[in-house]
Amino acid sequence: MRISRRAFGSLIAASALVHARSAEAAEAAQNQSNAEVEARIHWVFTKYGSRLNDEQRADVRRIITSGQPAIDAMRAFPLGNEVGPPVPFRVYSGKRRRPPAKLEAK
Amino acid sequence: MIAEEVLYLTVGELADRIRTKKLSPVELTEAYLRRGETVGARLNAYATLTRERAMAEAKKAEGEINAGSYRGPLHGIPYAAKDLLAAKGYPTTWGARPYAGQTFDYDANVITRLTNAGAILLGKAAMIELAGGMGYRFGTASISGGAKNPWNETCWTCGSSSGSGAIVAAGLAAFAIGTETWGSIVCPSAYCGVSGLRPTFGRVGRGGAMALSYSMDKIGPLARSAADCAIVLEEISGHDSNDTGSLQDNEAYFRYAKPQHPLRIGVLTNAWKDVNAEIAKITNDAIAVLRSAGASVSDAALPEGPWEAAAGVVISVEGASAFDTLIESGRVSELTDPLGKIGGYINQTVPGSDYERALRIRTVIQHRIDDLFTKFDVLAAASLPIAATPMSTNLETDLSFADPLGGIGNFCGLPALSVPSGFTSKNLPVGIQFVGRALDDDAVVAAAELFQSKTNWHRRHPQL
Repeated sequence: MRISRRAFGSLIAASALVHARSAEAAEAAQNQSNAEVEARIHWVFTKYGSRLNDEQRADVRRIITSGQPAIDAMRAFPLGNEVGPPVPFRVYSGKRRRPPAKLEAK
Repeated sequence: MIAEEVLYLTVGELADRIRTKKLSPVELTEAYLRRGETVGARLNAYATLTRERAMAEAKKAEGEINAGSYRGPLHGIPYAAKDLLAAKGYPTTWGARPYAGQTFDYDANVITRLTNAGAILLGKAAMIELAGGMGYRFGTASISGGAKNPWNETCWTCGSSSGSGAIVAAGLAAFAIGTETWGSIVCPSAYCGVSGLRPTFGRVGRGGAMALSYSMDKIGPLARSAADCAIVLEEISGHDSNDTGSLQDNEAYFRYAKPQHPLRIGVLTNAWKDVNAEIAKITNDAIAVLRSAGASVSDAALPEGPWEAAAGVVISVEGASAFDTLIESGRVSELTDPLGKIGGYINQTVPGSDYERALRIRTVIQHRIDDLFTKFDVLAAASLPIAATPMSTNLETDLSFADPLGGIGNFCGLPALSVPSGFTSKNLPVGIQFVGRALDDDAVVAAAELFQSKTNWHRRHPQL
């Protein structure tokens, strides 16, 4: 696996962290994940429960539960503070003129 | 009377005949419309036929061409547009019952550009409701019913550009416009045996198009060849001031320039976990064709990481926001699919911190995948590990597999082109996809063109 220049430092730090993690910590993380799943299910039932029949409630539970490991994996991915999203906020001003097109439309 | 084989000609071939006045756009349009009313209705391929507009545009094109004013290769060429693109005065349902009566008083940017090129809008292609934005369990998830695969009408076309795939495969239009957030051009192209191009994100303006995922939706053509896809992309690309994701003109405009060096093709060893044996052989044969045609071919591997999970979070959250009014209103219950009725509620539970994290992970994979393209012009793999499945297939339980190439490609906005690479023993089409570096749409067209210059799979069509 190639490691990008920006993420290299973060990966080293995270690797050390992973090795240091104890079995107890892993179990605690799992418990936390399970609690989060229940909280998310509860949120749906609280807000939209009156619209859901038993089958739909079961589907909501199943889908949120089965989707949580992917979210956990995403959260475990090492990211340094310096890694920002690819689309930064851009200021807008109606006064600003659009840059001239380099190619003419047909 | 126009022979059926004419309806299966490529855009390039039709354009030659129209330009030299050997083929009448009016007669061609009428022939496609009649076929749309019969074969198209049987396949659930169209949501709406725009007959009046089509005939008016055809007469206008024929008059201009007869008067010596030829606009270019799409002048007089009939096409279909996915029903999430606004067409002035006609229903634009987004494939979903809550929007059944929706109309707009303007055309989508893509339709405007095609109109300016002289193309003729035959109708709105059927689609999966909300482009699958709330999730779906069955291929029937559409206000117009499931689009049937022209190669086997008990099978699905794949989605969400389900009608666009059926229309091109069944000779109901010369090309069709589809959209892809994740798989919705590549998959129908593979299932239906047509050529489909997912352009670089931001190259084709989305003004007037339904939004599902603001940072992942792309618009592109499905056609009979890679060359046709390039012709269409040349016309629909360019900056769109009504699309905040649109590239500026200097990067958005596509003018096909064939690379002058032999293509460097990386054959992915980890695109699919399990590939059907027939499809694996067909794909290996296709790679051999490319190698013997002069391409430099070697193995490549996608970087490992939670890219699919992150892409899924982005689509879920952006979709939940794009359709928040529908979700809050409870009218998601009017959607056809059992999963669509509840998917929005579930997507609203994803925390904002996860969304932002997913975007930051996107930055990492953008750099890693770009590194891979310093060695290769395109990455190649089977478009899908299976051929078309029965309409009744439960997609959630029976058609759920990892798709890291689709995940990375769409998350990073990379161009891809799927072309037919063979047929299974059950006479179902198989596709090979080429994925390129961001903005290097030329490379994916070149790879697909090279393959099609040595094969005839794209010339096959179903007997209907």
